[in-house]
Amino acid sequence: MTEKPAIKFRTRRSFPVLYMFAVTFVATGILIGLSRSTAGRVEANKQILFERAVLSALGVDAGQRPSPANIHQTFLAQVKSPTESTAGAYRLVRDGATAAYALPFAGRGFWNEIRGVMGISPDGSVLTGVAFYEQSETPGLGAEIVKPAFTEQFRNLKLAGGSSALGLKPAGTKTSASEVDAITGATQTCTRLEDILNDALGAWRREMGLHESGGAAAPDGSGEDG
Amino acid sequence: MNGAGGGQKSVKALAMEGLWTNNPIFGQVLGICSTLAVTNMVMNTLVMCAALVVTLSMSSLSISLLRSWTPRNIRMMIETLIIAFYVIMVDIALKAYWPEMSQNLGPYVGLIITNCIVMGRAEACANTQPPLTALVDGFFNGLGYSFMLLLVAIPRELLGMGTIMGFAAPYFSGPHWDKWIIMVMPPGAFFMLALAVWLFRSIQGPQQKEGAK
Repeated sequence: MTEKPAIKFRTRRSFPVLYMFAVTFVATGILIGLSRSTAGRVEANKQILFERAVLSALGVDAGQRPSPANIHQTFLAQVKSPTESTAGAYRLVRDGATAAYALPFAGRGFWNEIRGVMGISPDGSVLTGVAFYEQSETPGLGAEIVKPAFTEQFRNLKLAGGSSALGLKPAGTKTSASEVDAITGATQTCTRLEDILNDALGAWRREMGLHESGGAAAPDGSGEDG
Repeated sequence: MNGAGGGQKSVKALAMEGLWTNNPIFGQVLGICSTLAVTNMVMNTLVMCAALVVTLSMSSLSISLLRSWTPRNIRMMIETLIIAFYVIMVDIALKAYWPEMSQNLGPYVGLIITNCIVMGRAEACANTQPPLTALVDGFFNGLGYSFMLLLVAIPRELLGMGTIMGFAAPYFSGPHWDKWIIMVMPPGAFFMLALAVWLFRSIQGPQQKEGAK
């Protein structure tokens, strides 16, 4: 960079190639360095987002405006990692007993993957809450699913038995206790989200042997679709 | 139309051009894609504008610094590379230090690379002008883009959601205002942008015609 080659060098045919190579080399070098140096931070941010979603779904209070460190400590203290017997769900332990399960779920939304966590009571009949930690739905529409106005509806939501444990219905049309208001203008996101939640819940309850349980009595026979 | 023009322009002239006479949105009609995409929430718009101002200023500066070295036949490759370099930097910074916003903006930050304003200014100005001129030109074009975006974003969020930057606005968030959901949906962006371009072009109309002739 510092030497001053003769003009001749710059008119050689190989000069553009070498020049492009050099600029690319410098630029990518800096970017790789930057990305490496922040990788730990980015990873930690993701972990905290997940832990915050778990705590929020379980309804655990980590304090007023919790700092990342607070969230992490609360998570470590109260939540146990999934084992074989929980079918992939995290456990909230209170006084040695399981107070609730936190089941991570994922599925395709309107634009991209939606990932979140739902908190479920030990008998699988009531949701303690739902929280999302990754989504790229349309800002202002589908992305409203992360707002408390939407997620708070799942707090202590009584689930129905069978394969459609809950429903997202257009605002003002819900008919049973297991339904919540969907978001106007985000029909696609809500329809898909409803399926994601029901699929995850159904699979988990089957694996846990909680299939027939549910707030409302399951209809006679299996509640599964034919 | 612009570009290689003779002597150095003053900061004031450059500001006037970027913000008004040659505004990227209603003058050059560049960068419309992101204008439509990120303007339904004022907060997202602000961060997007900040990211664009940084990218545009820095890439114009760098391209101008390298301009006498860069062979003409590969200049666009170099420009794209430099633009991508700054955009990825902004993206990494957001991911590391503002993860929530990084999530809100999703792929839009990465798409600054394809924002025509950046490439347009590189070709029209940074390629031929000294570094300082290029930097100032990039900065004011970024601001020109930003103020138009905010002008589109504020009514969209207000009419569509009854809020400004997430805070409930009086009247519009109340029961008397039936939210115009369409304003936060893609069609709302087209309506607002068309109105804004119409308004500003009408105001500056006569000069524009003279310039064209």
